[in-house]
Amino acid sequence: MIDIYKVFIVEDNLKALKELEILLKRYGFEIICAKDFSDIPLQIQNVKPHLILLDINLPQYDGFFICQNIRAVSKVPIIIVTARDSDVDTIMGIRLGADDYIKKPYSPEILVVKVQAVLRRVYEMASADESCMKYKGLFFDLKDYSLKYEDKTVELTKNEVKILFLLMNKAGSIVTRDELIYELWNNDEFIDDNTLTVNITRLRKKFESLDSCVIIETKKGVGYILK
Amino acid sequence: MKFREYIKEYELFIFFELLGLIIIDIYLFLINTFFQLIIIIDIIYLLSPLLFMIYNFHKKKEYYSTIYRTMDNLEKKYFISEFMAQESFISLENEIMKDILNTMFLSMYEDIKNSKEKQLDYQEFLEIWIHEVKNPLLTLKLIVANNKTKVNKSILEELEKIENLLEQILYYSRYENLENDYVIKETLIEDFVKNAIKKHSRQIIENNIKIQLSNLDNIVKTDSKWMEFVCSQIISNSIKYVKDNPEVKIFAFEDNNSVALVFEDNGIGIKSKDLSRLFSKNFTGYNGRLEKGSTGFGLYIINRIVHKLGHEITVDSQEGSYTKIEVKFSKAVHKW
Repeated sequence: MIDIYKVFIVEDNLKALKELEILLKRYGFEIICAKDFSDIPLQIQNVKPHLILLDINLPQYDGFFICQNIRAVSKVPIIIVTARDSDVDTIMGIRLGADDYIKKPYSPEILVVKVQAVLRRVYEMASADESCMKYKGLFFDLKDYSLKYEDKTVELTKNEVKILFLLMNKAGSIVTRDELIYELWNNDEFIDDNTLTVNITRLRKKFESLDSCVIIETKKGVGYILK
Repeated sequence: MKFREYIKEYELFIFFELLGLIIIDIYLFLINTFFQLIIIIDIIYLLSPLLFMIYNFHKKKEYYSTIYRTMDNLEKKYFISEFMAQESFISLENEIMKDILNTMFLSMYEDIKNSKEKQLDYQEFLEIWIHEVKNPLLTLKLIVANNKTKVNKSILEELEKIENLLEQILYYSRYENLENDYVIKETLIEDFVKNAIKKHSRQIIENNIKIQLSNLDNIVKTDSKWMEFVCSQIISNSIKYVKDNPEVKIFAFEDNNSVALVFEDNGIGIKSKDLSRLFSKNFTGYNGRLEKGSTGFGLYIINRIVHKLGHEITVDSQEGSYTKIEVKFSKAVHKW
C-alpha cells in the first residue's frame, strides 16, 4: 500500500490550480504542479506521480498531444479535464490512454471521488487479491457478492457490496456519508440519504446474523467506521 | 392556367383580330361581294389565329404545369431554374425566365451564404466564450469548496443556475445548426439518462431527492448528446419545483411502434391553464413567476429539439401532486 499518493496537476489557470492544490491536499494527497508545459513527460519521469490531472486546453500543446507523449514514457493513470462537452473529446482522450475524464465546471466532491476511484483501481485492487477482502475473520467475496464468517455465509446486494467495499477499504477510519454517496453516484448508483441509512442497517443485520465481532459504528453527523 | 385567364391575357390580340375582321367585312360589303363569300373569307381569316390560340393555350398550360409539378417535387424550390426543360416552342421566354430566376437565385444565395457565415461565426464565438466562462465558474466552485461558510450552499445554487443557463444558450445556439451536428444511432436510454442525472448530482444529493430508475434498457434511435441535454433540462425542472419527500421516477416502456421515456416527479405540479402553453417561447407560467430565476426558455428549446430529432414530447400534471413528462421515440428497435 502507498501511504501518500502524489498527484501531478497540469493546469494553466493559476487561480484554479491553487484552489485545486488546497482541495486535494485536504484529502491527503501530495500535489506537484507542472511549471512548464513543454516538457511534461520529462517532469513526470522525475517526479514519478501516482496520478496525473491533465487539462486539455493548454497554451502551447493541447492536452491530447501531452497525453500521448506521457503514454510513450509512462503508464501512470491520467484523468483528463475538459471544458468542451463533445463526445469526440472524451473518446479521443480515452483512446489516447486516459483512464477517466471529468467535465468543467465539475463539482469538487466528484473530482475527489474520481481521483480516489482511479487510484484505488490502479494501485490497491491490483496489489491485493482482486476478488476478496478480509477483515477480522470476515471474508468478503467480491465475485459472488457474499460475506463469510467461520462457517456462515450471507448474500449481499449490489449497493451493500459497494458500501462495504468502501468501509472495509478504510477499515478503522471514518468514511463520511458524503463520500459514500458520491462514490456510489460515481458508480451510477443514484442513492439518497435514506437509502444509504437503509443499506447500512441491512448490513448491520447481516453482520449480526454472522455472529462476527465486526460492527459498523455511526459517527453522528459525519459518517461510519468499520470496527 | 385557366382558359378564361388565358383569353383575358390575349384580349388585345383578339380585339385587333376582330377589328380587322370588321374592316374587311365592311370593305367586302361595300364592293358588293356575295354574302356566302364573305362568310367563307371570315372563316379563313379567323381559322389560323383560332388554331394558334388553342395550340398555344395547350402548350403553355402543359409547360407551366410541368414547372409546377417539378417544383412540388423539389425539396429546395429555389433550384427550379435548373430543372426548367428545354422548351422549343417558347424557348425565348423560357430562356429569359431561366436567366431571371438564375440571377435572382445567385443574388439571394450570396445573401444567405453571408448570413450563414455570420451565424456560424457567432456560434463559434459563443461556444468558445461559454467554454472560457466555465473556467472562472470552476475556480469559484473550488474556492467555495475550500472555504466552508454558511452561505456556501446558496452560492453553489446560484453558480449551478448560471451553469444551467449557460448550457441552455449553448444548445440553443447549436440548435440552428442541428442538421450538421447530430448523429442518430441506436442508443441505450440508460446511458444518456444517467449522464443527465449526474449533471445535477450535487443538487440531488444535497436536497435528498430520491431518484428511481427502472426499465431503462430499451434501445432507441436518437442522438445521445442532444437527448442528454433534453433529459438534463427536464430533470432540472423536476428538482427545482419540489415539495416534501421529493422523488423523481424515470422509466421507459414500449408498445408496438414506440418507446416512451417518462420523467415523473411528485413536485408542486403545473396549473392546468398553464399546461397548454408550457412549451411556448418565454412562457413562465405560475410556477415560473414564483421562482424568480425562470426564463421560460428551457422547455421551449427542448420541445423544438425533440421535434427536430423526430420524437414527441408531452406533459401531464396535476397541480399539487405530480408532473409527468413523456418523450416518445417512434422508431423502436429491440430490447437490449
